[in-house]
Amino acid sequence: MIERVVFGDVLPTGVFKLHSRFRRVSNFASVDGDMVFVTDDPMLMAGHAIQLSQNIFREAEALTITEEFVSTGGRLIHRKDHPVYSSCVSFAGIDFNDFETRLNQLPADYGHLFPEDSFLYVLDPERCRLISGAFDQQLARRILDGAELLLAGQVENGVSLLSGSGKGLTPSGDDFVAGLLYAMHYLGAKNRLCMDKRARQLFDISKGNNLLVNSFLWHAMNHNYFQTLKNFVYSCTRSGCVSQALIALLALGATSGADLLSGYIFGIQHRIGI
Amino acid sequence: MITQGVIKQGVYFDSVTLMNVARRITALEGIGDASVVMGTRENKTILESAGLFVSDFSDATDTDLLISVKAENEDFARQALDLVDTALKDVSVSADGRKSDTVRSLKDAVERLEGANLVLISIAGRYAAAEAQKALDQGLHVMLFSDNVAIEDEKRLKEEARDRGLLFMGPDCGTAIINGIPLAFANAVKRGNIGLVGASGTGLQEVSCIVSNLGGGISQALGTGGRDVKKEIGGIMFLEAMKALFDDDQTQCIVLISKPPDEEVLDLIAKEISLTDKPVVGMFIGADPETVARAGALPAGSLEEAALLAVQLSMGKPVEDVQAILQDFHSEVGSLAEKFSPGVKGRFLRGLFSGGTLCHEAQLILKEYIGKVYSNVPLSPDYYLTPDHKGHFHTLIDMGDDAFTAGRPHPMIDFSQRCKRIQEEAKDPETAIILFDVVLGYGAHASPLDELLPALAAAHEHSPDLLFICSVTGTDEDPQDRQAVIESLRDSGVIVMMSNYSAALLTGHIIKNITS
Repeated sequence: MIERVVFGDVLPTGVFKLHSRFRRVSNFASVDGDMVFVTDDPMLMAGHAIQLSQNIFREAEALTITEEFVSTGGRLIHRKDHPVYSSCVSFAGIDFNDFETRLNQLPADYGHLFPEDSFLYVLDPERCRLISGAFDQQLARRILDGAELLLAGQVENGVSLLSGSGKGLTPSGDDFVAGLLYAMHYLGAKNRLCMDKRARQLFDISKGNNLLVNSFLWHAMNHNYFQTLKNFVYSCTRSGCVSQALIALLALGATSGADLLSGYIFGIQHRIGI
Repeated sequence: MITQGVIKQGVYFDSVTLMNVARRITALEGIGDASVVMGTRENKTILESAGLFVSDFSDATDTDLLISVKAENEDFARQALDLVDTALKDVSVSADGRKSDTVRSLKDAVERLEGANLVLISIAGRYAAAEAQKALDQGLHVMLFSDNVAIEDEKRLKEEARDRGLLFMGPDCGTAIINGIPLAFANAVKRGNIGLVGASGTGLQEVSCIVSNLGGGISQALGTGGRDVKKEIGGIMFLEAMKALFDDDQTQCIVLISKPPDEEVLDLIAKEISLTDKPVVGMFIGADPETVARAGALPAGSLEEAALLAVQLSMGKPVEDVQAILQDFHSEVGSLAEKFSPGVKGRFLRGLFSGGTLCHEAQLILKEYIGKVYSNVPLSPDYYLTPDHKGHFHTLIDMGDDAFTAGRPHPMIDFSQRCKRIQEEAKDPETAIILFDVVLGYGAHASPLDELLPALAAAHEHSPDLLFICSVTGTDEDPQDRQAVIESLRDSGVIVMMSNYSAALLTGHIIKNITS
């Protein structure tokens, strides 16, 4: 029996084959390179995801998604019968100064919660001293070089150094770039600018052959927020509990949440893309 | 040093797995450095700069996994790469080489294990109540390890369990010993005639271990989850667990462990105690002893005293002896404090705990000696630490609190955060004593000293006058070998006490000595 199903609001249609499977997430890819994922964790929910309280697609090798239904192995779920997850975040009416003050204070107040090998050192260079291992040291040098280029206004060159660099299934540099793309959404809203073209340029520089990375960046470019990030942003824009939302965000991947957040804060602090 | 590497094509592992594997191989003997990264163009450039590139990597793509090691010789390199292969090949293979028996539902699990009558549930809190309901529907006792279960669900499920004559331990129940079988975080204790009921996981562990180490034994240790004794739940399972032990022929003496229960719940507990002839010890941490006595239980002022009383009772010895034992013990601790106080530099205490109840108990003990103690889980809201959890005045931190464990293993399993913090605190010239706990047993770190000793050595090198005081919760039968742990800690200059109570007491005496 299906207890709860939620569909993302930007779910692509088509035939999707199993790409990779993890404990809480199964990824499916179409021949066109579109990706969707199925999860049983509402905190991971995103615009291109399906949430099931019991993952009946756990064994699925393929999914068919149309505007009306999702099916696999003879099972069929009508989309109209189920709620839709909204991946939108609106900055209308928020106090921008208050939001940025909260964000800027995070590394000082909660730096200890960030994994040691996350990109927080871009915001707090003191942390570079904690880095050991030749790969990590070289990576840090590269990321700081990339950040310098961003600060010098050479955004494309900076992003070229960052993207694809680092550990993790989605390399840490790509998580950071995703943070920059989400930051551009905020900066566009604050300054009443359309940043879409600029974001597209960054996406084109960053994308590679890894479908998971491309999909992640694509949704960042299109300001489709996943639940944990959405909760975090709203906790900073309203009088929410920042620490709880932050902890949930930092719990994503080994350093993914922390790297994305470092990129987000860095992008907003330095008005990247404007 | 030589560099060797392998490529895994088209395989995907989550980031945490990849980083854990990288850390494991870096720690191997003969390995200078290691890296496990995706084969992007950028990562290949970084690997080259880091001296971790091998020629085979040239043709790798974004979707390939590149593993490289810098080793003292080929044998070490090969061993490390073999380990990676094994670690990544099948994450579901257990340590003893058996493949995990994967089942997709509770129903499947029950069918697979004929005769099972208890289910341990550890899934995301939001789904836990539904699974627990299914377990009750199948007539199973439940141990619910998950937290974040709505209190309304907890009450409903516990009422239903009671009506069905089933035990419902939890939510947020981390410790139980049923018929000698330790569940979740529990220790290898001797079997005997002392039954425990606890709304506190590390409280149950501490008491059961001290009982066992004193020569007593445990019949059953039943956890209830911390909220059970609150007004909203009404002590439903605490009372049921008490009744179960009253009816259990093997149990001759009962110890109740929790924070002070709600007044109405305490009345119900008192009523239940009045119905049994078996002696009951009450350790309601921080409660007024008179209140406990009024409920009909022998009041204990610490987890250690509760264990001592229970052992005396279980052996038919007079409980009055316990006061004499504690008196002697206080004198001994006082002498120890005199011995260690003169060389201490700094003024303040820093306590780093993995057990929440142990942190709470230590604060209560220290309050008597040194007054206010700041914490992330303080006795009074006035003494909350700032969000960065930086040490302030005397500070005790529960590192098992959500703020430290989100996305990370519990500090009983992974010492890395505590080790880092030990070194940070050692650098503060105001730090006089670092107090910490080491909890052994099933579920806990298999080899805690591997992480702890290097951190203590580094801290000691930086601050030779710093005192380290620690308690070890465990038994000699635990998988980690308690005696060996204690000896190694002592060899490293740590003052090891046999209980959380005694460690906190000694700390309180020394701080009092150096500040007066």
